[in-house]
Amino acid sequence: MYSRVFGLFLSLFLLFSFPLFAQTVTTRSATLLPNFSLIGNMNGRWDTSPKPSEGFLLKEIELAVQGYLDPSVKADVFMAFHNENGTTVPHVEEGYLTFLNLADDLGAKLGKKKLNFGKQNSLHPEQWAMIEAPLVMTRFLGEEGASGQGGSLDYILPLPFFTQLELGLWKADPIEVQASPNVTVFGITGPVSHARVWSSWSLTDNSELELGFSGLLGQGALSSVQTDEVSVFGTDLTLKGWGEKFNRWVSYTEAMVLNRKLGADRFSRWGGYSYFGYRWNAYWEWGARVDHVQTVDLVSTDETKLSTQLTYQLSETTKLRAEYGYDLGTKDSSVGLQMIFGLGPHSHVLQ
Amino acid sequence: MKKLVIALLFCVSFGTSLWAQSKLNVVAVTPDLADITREVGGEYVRVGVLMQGWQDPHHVDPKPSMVMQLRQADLLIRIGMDLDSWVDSLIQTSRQSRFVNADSVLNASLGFPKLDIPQGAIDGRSGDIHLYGNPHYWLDPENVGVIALNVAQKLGQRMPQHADYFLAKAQKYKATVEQKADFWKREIKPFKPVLVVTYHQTWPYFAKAFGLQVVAQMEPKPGIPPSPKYLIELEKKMKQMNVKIIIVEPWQNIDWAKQLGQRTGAEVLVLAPSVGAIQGVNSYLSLIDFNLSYLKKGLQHVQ
Repeated sequence: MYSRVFGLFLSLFLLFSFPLFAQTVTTRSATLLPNFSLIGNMNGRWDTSPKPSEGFLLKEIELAVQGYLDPSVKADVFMAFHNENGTTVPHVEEGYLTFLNLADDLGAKLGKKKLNFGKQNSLHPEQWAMIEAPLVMTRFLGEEGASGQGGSLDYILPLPFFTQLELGLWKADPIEVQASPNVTVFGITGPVSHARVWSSWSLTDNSELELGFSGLLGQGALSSVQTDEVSVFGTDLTLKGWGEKFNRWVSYTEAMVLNRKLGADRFSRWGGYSYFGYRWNAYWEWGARVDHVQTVDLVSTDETKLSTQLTYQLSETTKLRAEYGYDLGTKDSSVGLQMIFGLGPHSHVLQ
Repeated sequence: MKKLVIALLFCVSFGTSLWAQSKLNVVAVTPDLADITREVGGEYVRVGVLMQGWQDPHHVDPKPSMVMQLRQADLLIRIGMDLDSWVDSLIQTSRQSRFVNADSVLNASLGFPKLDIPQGAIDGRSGDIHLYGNPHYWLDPENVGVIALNVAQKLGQRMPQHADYFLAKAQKYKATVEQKADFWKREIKPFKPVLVVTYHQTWPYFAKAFGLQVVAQMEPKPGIPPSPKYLIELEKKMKQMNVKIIIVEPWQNIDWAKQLGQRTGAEVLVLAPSVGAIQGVNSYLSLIDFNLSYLKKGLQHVQ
């Protein structure tokens, strides 16, 4: 079923993009060199739980190569070099083409990409306002979030306010797990179909409201050994306000419901978080977050965590961040420290 | 009756489409560029603006609502020189590849010499420096005259039937701006030499236009906050050179500037780097009047 739909999507894509390829040939001489940039992510975490602490180490280097192939097609490639237990593991984190206008108001993305699900999943860690990803994201979509190879179509609806509809078909990477239904590792794998509606309203000249709805159908981590069908639906609300000078406040709230059919069992879990951040000058930003999530196992436990963040922006691309977390269930505390540094003209699409 | 309704519908739809075609939708990145475009385009353009004058153009968060402004625009007028690179993400989200193409974009930074162009390889050691030179070029009224002519040419390409109208408006506006600048140059002349310290490197074009000598910045490097040690050294330098004017952008830390002013006896002037940066500065002409009249008062005060 998925392969048929994917084939159809690919055919449509080739049909629409043929004139674009023709343009590529004629405009090649005007193409500039791509932008090269590098983001380094050093972090460490120390906590009172039995979970081992992590020293302050360089955890990831992200190398980005970005540029336009022609006026309508942009290529973005993000290579990541992860430090996993002392070994550097390179992989293509994202590599995709963006077709700006296949037709009026219709765009497309093709390649490997983080799924545009909710507010945080498609962002890279250097774009987050926090060190640790929201619990609901890592518990419901996987430790690294949901990503896959495939494509999506996005369309800006003809409304007086900004509303974008995105539909995608992806093949998520397999997840290595123990063959036991009670494992805590969870992620989205196999063929995934996903949709997102993202709207925005300018409340005043200085404030903006964004509302999003996302959904995906896929398979859970145990799909290789038994039935493991998963659907996740989420909603996200973002409020941003800007004051004179550099003052800015931002609020992210996201909630998700996960339905899972695991063997003969069916169950639903929910989770969410709310974050508030305030930047009081060009350099300093404070934030606080509350997370609540139910684990995606047969026997669910609740996790509730409070955390607070303090960020110092050294330059446009370099920041130092400290994060304190407190688990209301286990009463464990954790302290995280992060240094993100950037070289070159790194950029991400508006999310 | 049926024929009458059809005829009416045809007239309304034809009339609406003619009305829509009669005006060109232009979006300018800054209020300064928007104001110049309004002056040049007159009755034939509808001008929107992406950022507010009180925002530091180096630190603008692109918003989805800006995407809607772009989608409705026939022409985008950019600051250029990498100062508005945040607009790129809006263009990508808007799906309007015409803004990747030069036909529907005017880079307002073209056509006049740039200042502070870095030499050799640059990196973070130079602070948040701009590869193509200092991008605050609109603070020199002479450059605004060139921008007005470039806007007229671009509008004329899009609406050839009104090309002469745009050119005439641009020439008239250029003359008005130059006249105003000449008036203020004469007003400032008796105070020369005018030595100033500025918070950020926003003012070299302004200084060149009106004959000010920028001795130093409060930032040791562009975008890098001053350390106490650096401010002590700057204080000594200001006293040695008898610098009595500190120019600050409204979004910078004015308290630090005031403390430096108290220690050196210098007047702190919060000037408008953009239209809308300060209440009452609603046009480029009023920006010149505000900045220069305030500067003159400051100079009179410290004499």
